[in-house]
Amino acid sequence: MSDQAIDAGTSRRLPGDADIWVFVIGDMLIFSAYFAAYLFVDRIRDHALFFQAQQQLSQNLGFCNTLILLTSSLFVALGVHAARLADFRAASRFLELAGASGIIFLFVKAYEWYTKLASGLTISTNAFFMHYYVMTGVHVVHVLIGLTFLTILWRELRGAAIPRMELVEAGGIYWHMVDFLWFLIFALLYLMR
Amino acid sequence: MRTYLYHPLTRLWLVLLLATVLSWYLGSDGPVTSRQAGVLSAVSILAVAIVKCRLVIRNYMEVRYAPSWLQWTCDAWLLLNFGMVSSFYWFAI
Repeated sequence: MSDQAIDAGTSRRLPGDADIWVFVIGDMLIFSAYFAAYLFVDRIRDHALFFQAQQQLSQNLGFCNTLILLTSSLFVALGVHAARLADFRAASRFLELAGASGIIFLFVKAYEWYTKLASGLTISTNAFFMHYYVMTGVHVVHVLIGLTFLTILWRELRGAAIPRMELVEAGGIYWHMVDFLWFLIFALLYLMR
Repeated sequence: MRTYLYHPLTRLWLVLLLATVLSWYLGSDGPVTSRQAGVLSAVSILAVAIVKCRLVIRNYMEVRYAPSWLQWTCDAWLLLNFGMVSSFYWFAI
């Protein structure tokens, strides 16, 4: 989609392709089902325990990781924009920055898990920590898939004579989903008590 | 690359950053003084998170330029999550 078309606001076009949207919407619904299970199956039984266990999470680390993912999303969005302008060198540099941000997110998450495990807070400590490790673990798997996707896009931008824009957009859409799902996980696990 | 940083996408990033600071502030609001205050704080944090999700979906994922079925689907998902989570905090605890 050209910027002119975007600015005019007259064109209606599916970003990426239909396949990525089936996948992304399916994933969004699976996460919603998990949020429902977290709240209505377990938290509802012992809200006080969840409330107390939440005090042991570091809101500051969660906050840092939110900023890191947010920034990586900006880099991906700017990368897609640069690719549309056929500035593939800038586009690939933005994807490198996005990938680096994703890796920093994983290091912060690993540090957070390490500090929890070192304090004796494991997946079997209580129902809250079971959800904490599973929910953030499933999200980490999504980050790893996203990083693989970004690598594929980077190769496409560096190697292909004419990079496929649908593929570049699809990778961006997936990465942004990983970003906004984290917004909800951060709110549910770290902030809402 | 520097010229790209003056794009409206960067301004949106600043808005999202400020919204994250706001939700972090709301979440670190000290001990909860009453059930009503706790619920209000939780629902405010949720509302900020949902608005942030919508901004990313519409602008970074470019759903605002997509066919209306996709716009409606994404908004329905956001509404579903807001309704489900806020109803838990309002009614179930």
